[in-house]
Amino acid sequence: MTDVMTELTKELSEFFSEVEMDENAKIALVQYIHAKFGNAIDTSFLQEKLRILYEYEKNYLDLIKEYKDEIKFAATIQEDLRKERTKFFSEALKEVSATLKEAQVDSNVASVWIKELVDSYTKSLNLSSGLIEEHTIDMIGEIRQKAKKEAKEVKEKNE
Amino acid sequence: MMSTLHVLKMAREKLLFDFTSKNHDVYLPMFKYENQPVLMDLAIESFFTSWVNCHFQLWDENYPHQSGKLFYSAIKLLIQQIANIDEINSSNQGFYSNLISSKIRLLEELIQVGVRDSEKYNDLLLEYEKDKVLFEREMNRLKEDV
Repeated sequence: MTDVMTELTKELSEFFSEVEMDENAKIALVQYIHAKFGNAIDTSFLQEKLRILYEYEKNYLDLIKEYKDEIKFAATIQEDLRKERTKFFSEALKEVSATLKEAQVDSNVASVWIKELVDSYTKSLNLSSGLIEEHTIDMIGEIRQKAKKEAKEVKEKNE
Repeated sequence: MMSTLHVLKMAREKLLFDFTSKNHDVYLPMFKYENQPVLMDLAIESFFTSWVNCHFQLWDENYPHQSGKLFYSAIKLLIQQIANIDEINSSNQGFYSNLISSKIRLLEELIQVGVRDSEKYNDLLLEYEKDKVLFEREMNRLKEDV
């Protein structure tokens, strides 16, 4: 029995010594409290729980570390794509429009071609973005699978 | 995935460059068919179909040893989105619809096979070579109708 548990039994016995009731009932009550709540205040039990929790958390952290570069990379290419989209609408289209004007293309004709250009360009951008998203989702799925597997291993080890 | 993203980006750069460098394939039909909207539409479809085709050329030049299952799937999606298959089918553009459908069918077969050194890939390359000729034929036919 740990120190804390011994202390608990002592405290309970002292408390019940001042209570007027059947001795057998007192013993049964102390034993009941001991069995029911003993673990909750047993520090070694808590320490064990914390150790398992730490093991779980450590595994998660190790997994994140393992995938750190890949997560960073996915974020970077998605960011590059966002920049490209912004640049297309803020700079490239203006340049195209100016070139068409300079070449004296009829404005209605220019509009039709620009519309098709925007349409095709953005569809390609969306497709790229979708591929990155799909890749990220796959990666998250992979991390989850590994985390699940490792959590199961920790659980089995501590049973 | 990176190789597919790279080819998509290169193709976008090429598309922009064609417009800013006054490429003949873009600018010539703009003037030539200024007053013939039907032919202008066909010229636009021809140009953007060539642009989709250029993805394969870029892939071959940059990644000659990769099978590219993901790449084929991506381009299939791009063709479907750009060509807007539902719209084409409902507007009964038989010529363009056939051209796109046969390409998508070939791509689907390629995705299943997954290797580029197949007869299917050669069929696809031939299909792209045919596009220009088919567009030209269709234009001539429409010109005669006009």
